[in-house]
Amino acid sequence: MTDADDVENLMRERLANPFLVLAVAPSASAAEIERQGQRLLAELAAGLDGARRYETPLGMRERTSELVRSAIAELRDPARRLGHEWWARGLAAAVAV
Amino acid sequence: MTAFSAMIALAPQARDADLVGRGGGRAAIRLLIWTALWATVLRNIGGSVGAWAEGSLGVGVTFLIAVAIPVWLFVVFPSWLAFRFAAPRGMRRLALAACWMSPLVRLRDLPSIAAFFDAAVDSPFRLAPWGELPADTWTALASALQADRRRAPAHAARIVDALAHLPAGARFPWLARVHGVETLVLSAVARRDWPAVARYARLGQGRLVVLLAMVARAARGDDVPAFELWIAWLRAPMRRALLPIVRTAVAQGQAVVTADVPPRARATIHARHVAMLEAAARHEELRTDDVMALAAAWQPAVDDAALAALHARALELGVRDGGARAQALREQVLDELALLLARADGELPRAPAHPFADTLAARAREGEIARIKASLAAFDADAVGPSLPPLAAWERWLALRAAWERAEQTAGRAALATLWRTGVRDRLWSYCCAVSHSHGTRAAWAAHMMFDWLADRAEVAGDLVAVLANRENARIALASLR
Amino acid sequence: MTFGSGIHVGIDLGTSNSAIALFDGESVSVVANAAGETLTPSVVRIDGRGGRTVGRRAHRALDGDPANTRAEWKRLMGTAERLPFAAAGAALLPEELSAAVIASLLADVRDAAGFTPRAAVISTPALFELPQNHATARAGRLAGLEEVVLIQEPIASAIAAGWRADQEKDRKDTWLVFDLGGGTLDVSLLETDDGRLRVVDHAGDNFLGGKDIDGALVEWAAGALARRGGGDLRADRATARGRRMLARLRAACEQAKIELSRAERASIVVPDAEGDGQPDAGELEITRGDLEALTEPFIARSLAAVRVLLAKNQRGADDVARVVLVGGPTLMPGLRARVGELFGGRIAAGVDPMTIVARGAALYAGSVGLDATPAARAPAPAAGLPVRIEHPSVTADLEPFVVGRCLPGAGQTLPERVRIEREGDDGGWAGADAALSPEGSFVLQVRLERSRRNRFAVRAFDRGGAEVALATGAFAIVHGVSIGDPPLARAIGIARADDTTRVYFAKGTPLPARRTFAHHTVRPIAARSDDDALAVPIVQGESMRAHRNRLIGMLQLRGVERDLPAGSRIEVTLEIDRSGQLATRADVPGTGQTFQDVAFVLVPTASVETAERELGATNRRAAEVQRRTFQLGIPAAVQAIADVSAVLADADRALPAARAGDADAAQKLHRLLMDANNALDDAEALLEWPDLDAEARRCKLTYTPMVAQWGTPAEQQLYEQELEAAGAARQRNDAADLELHLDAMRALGRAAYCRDPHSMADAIDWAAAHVTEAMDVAAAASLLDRARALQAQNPFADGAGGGLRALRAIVAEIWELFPSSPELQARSFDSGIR
Repeated sequence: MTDADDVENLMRERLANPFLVLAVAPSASAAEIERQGQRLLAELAAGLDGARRYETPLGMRERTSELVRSAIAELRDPARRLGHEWWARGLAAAVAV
Repeated sequence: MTAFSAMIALAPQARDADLVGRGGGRAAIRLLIWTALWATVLRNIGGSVGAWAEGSLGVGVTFLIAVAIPVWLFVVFPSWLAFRFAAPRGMRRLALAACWMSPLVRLRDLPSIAAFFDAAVDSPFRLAPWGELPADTWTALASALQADRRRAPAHAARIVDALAHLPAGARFPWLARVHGVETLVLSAVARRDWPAVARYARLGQGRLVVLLAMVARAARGDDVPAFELWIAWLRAPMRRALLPIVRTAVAQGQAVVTADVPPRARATIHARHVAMLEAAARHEELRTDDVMALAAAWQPAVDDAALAALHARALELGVRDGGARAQALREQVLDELALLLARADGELPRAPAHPFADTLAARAREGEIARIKASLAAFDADAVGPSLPPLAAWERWLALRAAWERAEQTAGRAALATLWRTGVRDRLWSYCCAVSHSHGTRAAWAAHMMFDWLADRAEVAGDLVAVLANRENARIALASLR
Repeated sequence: MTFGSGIHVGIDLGTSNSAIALFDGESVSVVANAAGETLTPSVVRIDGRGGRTVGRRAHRALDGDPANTRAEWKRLMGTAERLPFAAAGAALLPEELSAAVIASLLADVRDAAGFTPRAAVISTPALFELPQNHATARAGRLAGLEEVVLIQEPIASAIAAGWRADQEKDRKDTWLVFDLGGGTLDVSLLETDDGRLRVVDHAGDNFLGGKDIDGALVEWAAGALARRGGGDLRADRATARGRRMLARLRAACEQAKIELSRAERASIVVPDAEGDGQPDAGELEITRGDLEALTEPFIARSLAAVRVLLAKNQRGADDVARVVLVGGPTLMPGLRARVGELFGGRIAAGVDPMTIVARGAALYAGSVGLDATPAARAPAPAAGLPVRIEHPSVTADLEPFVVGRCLPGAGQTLPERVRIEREGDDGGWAGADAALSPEGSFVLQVRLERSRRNRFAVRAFDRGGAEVALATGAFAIVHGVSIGDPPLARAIGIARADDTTRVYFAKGTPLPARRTFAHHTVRPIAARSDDDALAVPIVQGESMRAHRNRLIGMLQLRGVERDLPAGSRIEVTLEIDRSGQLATRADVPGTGQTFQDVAFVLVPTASVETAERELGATNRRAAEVQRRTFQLGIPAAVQAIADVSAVLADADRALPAARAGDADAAQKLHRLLMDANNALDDAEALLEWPDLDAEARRCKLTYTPMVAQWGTPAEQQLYEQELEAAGAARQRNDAADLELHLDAMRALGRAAYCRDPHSMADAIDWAAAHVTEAMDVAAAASLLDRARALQAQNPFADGAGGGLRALRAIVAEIWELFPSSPELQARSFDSGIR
């Protein structure tokens, strides 16, 4: 039973990949990531509809300010960014197709 | 506990022999009341028929009024009253009284049926505390119903699977098959969990179950002709409530079937991986072959060249231990694939095509054996007693059974032979004996099933002593039920 | 969000001294108290009438009236330890004392700036755990603050130090913040990348600070005085007079220590205030060399923490661009010299180590837009179209985005276009006009002037080009160091029934954070039974084993409406807000109920007796692990063990003080034991493979002859297979697989052993020797008698083997009387879920 929960949690984590959440390319620079993150936080705070969802290979998902903040923090750490980048290259390509 | 434990074959004792005597008395009273009641009814029917017809009725009509209707009233009506009228409205006492009157119900099943009614309306068990309930089909179904409602579908699936593979001689009353399974199926329908509906429906009989099985097939995308659905609906009870569901199923069948996941999502290996995770999270059926195919597709993305490129990128980013991180990503993919394999059905390939899949297969096998060992930890014969009621003891065994049969499927029987000899056999044997001893006839149904299963496993492992002993134990358990 | 002219307040709540600073968007200033000092001693005195004194005046009373004056309670934050005030008959919690200090600081701001702050950022040590953070936030609210946000001290120091540093583009620097305060050591590794600050890692010691250095000095001085012929002040700890003399000695030592940072020699003068001509009053001389010798172990320990932190993150001292020294004790020349030596002199200049934390806290308040001015002071919005503007308060980005949304009221229409303009020394800037979206929003990029507060104005125009008045069109963005959300210091998770931890928030997770995981119950709960609650324990710590982490809260499932059988699904949500407040919720989808009844566990007031027992046990365990380590010769394990010896020595030293009732020492002891056990866990993990390998060889030697002699042909064949598989697993270094095969070999070997008639005799002899350990000694004894009787009849001569079977049955019964310990339930904090 723990397996089923693990699978569900894994899937959620994959779909919450920081690059997908922030809608930036995996090759984006740190400055671009910060800027985009701040922009999304401001848009969410202002209540703009366009900011509330982001695209994943399995459809649109809800974007919250917690997710955005977490994404920014994850990508600041180069070690974590490596892993996210690797996954994002595959996932973002699937979205773009 | 230690090496010296339980090489002893103990025969279960037939306890509660006096219950039969008491039961005989109750059955006699029941018969008496039946006779009195229906004799009165029959007399009145006969009288009014006679008064009405004055001899001008044909043979057929007379047969209908004098024989068919009373027989229907006598045999079918009480159970209809109980399960179709009283129980869904929560009229527990009326339902129980009707069951008591029904010749299709054995007296000794009444407490279990009461427990089932309680579970059906989701209230705490009233007639007897949980610990004193016997383990039989009704309480098993009650437990499955609770598990289904509490969102523990794996547990419910295990119970249903065990009920679907009862050993020869084990009882599964017709009423349970029809009405008991119906309630379970309806619980899954309420959640719109169609895979679960299909699973439960395989167990049952009856027009409602047949209809819902068809609806589940349609929801899964199978081709179910619309007129067959409508005919089944017309024949089934609860038509008004089920109309919207059947309408949707028919509409689904007529719509163009599109893949759940848009084709572009299959474009990259990462996306396929996530799509499979999502399917697993939704409890959809997963095949081992598909997972192994995914593993094969991963190979080029995690081979040495790819990892070296990742290491280079790590250096660019200023990550200190890039090599280790790259390896860790590969391990992560392996772990996730192993997780998917644990939920997939099918046998592992004997000779996988390449090293990645080979590692995966080995890991999956280890995982299965580890899972069996983990569930073995709970099998302490000393723990069986008033604190471990018959049903709970049986459910604990169900977990092991599920893990074992999965392992047989994935790791193969040979791998389990050693495990059998070196702990499972003795431990499980003592456990089953302890269950049988502590609870007597209340656990006889469960004990019969457990001993029979043990005997089958022993046969596979070539353990003749265990085969003989456990078949004998199973027979004794069955006999005590009669 | 601020309207452009907010004031932001930061508070440094230190062990010995506290400070408060203001940031107005341009510059930071530290507020002086009534005595004109920037530092307010963290001392509280309550007199007989209940009147409270805080700060320097209370500090002066420490010497003369120790029964009613309290200082240095920071390490007790989060405990239920009440500190007594004899004259007033009151006993206050540590957070209540902190609240008094904070209130005094807020009053200072009122005197200086004309308003009482309504919100502030308060600093806490990086290694403070959740209960301690809770207590700090509570203290702020008790003092009258409406909103409290917490920040870790090293981050505050880094912000303050980096604020005005030259920010070259694409510059990437590694910093080290060395914060040695009164009670704690915090060493943090930070990285700045083009103005973006990030915490890489931190380490430290919750029980190493100036207070310990003072303690060592006091010990030395008391010893010196005793040797001179006076009484030993340390022996008198229990009496009131003794405590007063000690307090005086402590004050004198502190004074001398401060003098020694300026001079080569100083005197420790203990006045004979009792006037009874006691020989323990007197004067001692101390040189700088003496002090350095005394403080050497502490300095060495703190530098060791630095080295460990650097090594853990694969950096060397040369990689560190700058070291920021924070805290009073870092003014000691000896310490500064040693740190400078390690880092080639790269100590950041121009920072006042005493107030840097307060400054950084105020800057952080600015960066999160925490405005301290009361609502009444905010300028009334002008008449016009309301517009909501969202923007970062502080950013390192020179061209950030600004998002706005016009919210027209009744009778107002949306304008057509907007433009953002800025004045400045660079000649000002005006952005291009942009059209509003149908929902009235706009997203524009602005340009900032470097390193200053940039004031912007939004202007709106209708279709005809006429300007539309906006109610609130002005805002400001400060260009400076942009700091991400504060990271969590230690992982937080749930303890499961099998003693494992399900991590919800890993170390370094940015706050605020929220996560939900699904679990399943292990025990059935009957409906409507209040006392049969299921416990969901919340723990904090890095260990995967639940019992090695600290329990910080317990969510109870009580009053379930329907039967909840074992295996029911429970969804647990943990949520932490920015200031470290934890909220917990458990949802049971099956019954539709939600449980939110959390009992927050305070830092446990460790009972000294249990700690003493645990110390003994840990010492024994350490000795055993040490033996195994040297036997197997694993270098990494040797390294881990070396630290443990030092920690246990510290614990031994803390024990006498703890026994004498020093709550602080008791906490320290408890914490040291936990650290020692964690280190032993790590060492044991490193020894696992070599141990297993050795075990494999032992099994092979022991069981092969047994199986060969006594095993059935089937068993022998199986054994061969297992032996081969075990060999393969050893080659592959596959621990899990090897365990499996060893288990099989052991079982087969034991089965063969049982057939050996002489094995029965061995078993009976063993049982006879250990009969007193049986759970039921009388029963064991009687069974033994029966066994011996059977043996005497020589059952092995019985060809049918019936006698042997009976003997085996008796031995089986005897074995069941010997305990096998099920400790799992207790170790997993009685967790009811998996």
